[in-house]
Amino acid sequence: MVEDRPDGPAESVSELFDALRRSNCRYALYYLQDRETATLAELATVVASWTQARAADPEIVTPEDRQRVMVSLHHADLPALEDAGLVRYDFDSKTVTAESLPEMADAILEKSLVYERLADREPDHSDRRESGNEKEPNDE
Amino acid sequence: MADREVTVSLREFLDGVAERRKRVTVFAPERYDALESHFETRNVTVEQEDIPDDGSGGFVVVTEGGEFVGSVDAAAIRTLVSPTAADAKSAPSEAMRALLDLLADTTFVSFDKGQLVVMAHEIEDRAFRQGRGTLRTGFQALQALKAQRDVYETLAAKSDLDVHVYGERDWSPDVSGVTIHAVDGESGEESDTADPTTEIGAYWFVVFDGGGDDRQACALLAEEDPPDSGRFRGFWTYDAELVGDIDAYLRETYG
Repeated sequence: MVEDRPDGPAESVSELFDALRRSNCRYALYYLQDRETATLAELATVVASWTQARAADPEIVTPEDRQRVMVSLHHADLPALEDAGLVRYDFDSKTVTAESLPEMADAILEKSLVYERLADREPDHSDRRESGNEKEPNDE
Repeated sequence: MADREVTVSLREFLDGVAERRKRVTVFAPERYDALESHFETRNVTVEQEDIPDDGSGGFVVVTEGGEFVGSVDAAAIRTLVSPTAADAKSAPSEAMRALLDLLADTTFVSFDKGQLVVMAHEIEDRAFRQGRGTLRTGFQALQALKAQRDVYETLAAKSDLDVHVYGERDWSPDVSGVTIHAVDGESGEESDTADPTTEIGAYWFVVFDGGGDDRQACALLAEEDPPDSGRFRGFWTYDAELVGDIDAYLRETYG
């Protein structure tokens, strides 16, 4: 977990996609884009709330919901991001620091954000969208 | 409010809630102007953080003393900021109600009688629908019960609902089924704990213990401040424990 980059190019691509296919990972990265670091607790709040806000019928996020996301971040998502060389996660202080993103990761994230925006089906901010309200449930 | 602590006045309940100041953080791709003004009647701190636009519109997080209380989608804020017909439809108002739930137990300032009456009716209505338990209402002066006579007789007609009304003795009400606790106004200052003469005259409260169902427990407690101004500061709460504490305090102090 100390090395920044995975061993070979092929493996690094796999690890990159392995992390980015998880919506928790993508949303953690979107949040970290303009901030250097965040604590696990902050990320749990943001990721739990943000992913729920995308639901067709968003519900209130409870402390229990957030706790579940925190456990997933700590044990699965943040280690995956670290394996892909995208963040450093200090297990003891529970602090996440963004690495400068490799070009490919940067390009993918930029695109994926556009796609999350298009896939969002809430009709009341359709003003920003050019065409129909085609439902496109592309999340896992 | 730890159970060992003895509450000696209604003021302490008010101060206790005021201390637990909540923080509302809006995470959204756009900034909302003058957001604070929409929360000014509530005792909360408001902050905004930028996030990239993923089409969701963002979310609103409520914390208390650094602890996560809950979050809702930012439709709640859009409704608050522009409560127009178009925005007030279905989903936004639901998010809005959820946000208000998260903000319950906060204090409000500067409410007038009309606003308090609306909140009081909400609690009386709960008591009526539940049909059992204890309802304690303080009208400052018993005169005020005149206008509510029908409502309180209807409530008291529920045989399993125990209805108590408190107020300064400026009228001798005869409302069947209602237990009246008349307090004599402005006598002296011999007591150094609860001062019933000023306390009952200064506070408006409606406390329903839930009738055995904690989810139905709710209370409103407000102090006319400054006195005789027609303006109130206070709070409402759905916290069954806090409701129970106020209920017990009233029972032990005034019967």
